[in-house]
Amino acid sequence: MRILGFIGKLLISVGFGVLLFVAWILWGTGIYTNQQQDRLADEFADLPALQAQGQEDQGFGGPPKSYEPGPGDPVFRLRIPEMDLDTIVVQGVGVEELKKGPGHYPGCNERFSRPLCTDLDEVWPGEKGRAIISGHRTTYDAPFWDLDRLQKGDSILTETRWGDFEYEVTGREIVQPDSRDIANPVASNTGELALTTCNPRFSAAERLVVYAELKTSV
Amino acid sequence: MNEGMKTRRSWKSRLLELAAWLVVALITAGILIALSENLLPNNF
Repeated sequence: MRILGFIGKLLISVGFGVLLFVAWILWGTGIYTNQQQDRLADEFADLPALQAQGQEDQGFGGPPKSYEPGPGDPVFRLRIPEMDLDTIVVQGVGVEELKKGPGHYPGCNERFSRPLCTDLDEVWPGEKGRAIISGHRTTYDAPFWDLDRLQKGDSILTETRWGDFEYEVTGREIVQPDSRDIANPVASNTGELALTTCNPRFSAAERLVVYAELKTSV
Repeated sequence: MNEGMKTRRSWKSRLLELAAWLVVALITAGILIALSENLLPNNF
């Protein structure tokens, strides 16, 4: 009987440990992200304004070619009123970067290596082409928890150091996790934003992608 | 007189046992957190 009692207590104790782990993953990781977001917001506010380059006369414009933020640097603010989201986006979509907040998909160079970068031209908010932002759905403050709530016509705002841009949601799709198609869009004459995250919640079986089109430069 | 009766444990002994089991729970959680980057998919 004593051995049974011991095993029972051990199982209860280990089970409690598993519950603590789940609580840490779901909520505890958000503490780190919130601390990082506070720091990134201060850093972003201190960044100097940049002169937009490109097609400003058509409402488009990106940062100067010399703009090359490093992994985890704050690059722009993302606001989605429908999701009550107001967050600083960092450069890069690696594990460490996404712990800090949503990440902007970078171009490949000495600081960003495949597969977490694109060989094509890096696209920023305000530019023609598709800028991609990836974010956590369940952990690390779950910035894209409600991404599936976005409907056609909803507004997505980006505040950059070279201008503010408003996008309008045009649609969404669910793709396989290893799909690379969204990073290689058909060339278009518009500015696009693609927000990606895990789908469904608490699972990484699929990827949810929400597309938005540049509407105005604010 | 006391034969057949269970000995009552002191509250200190019970508290000590509870603390020991709590340590087991914390160690379990610690191990899982340390392994979580390998256990969980990226961008979960």
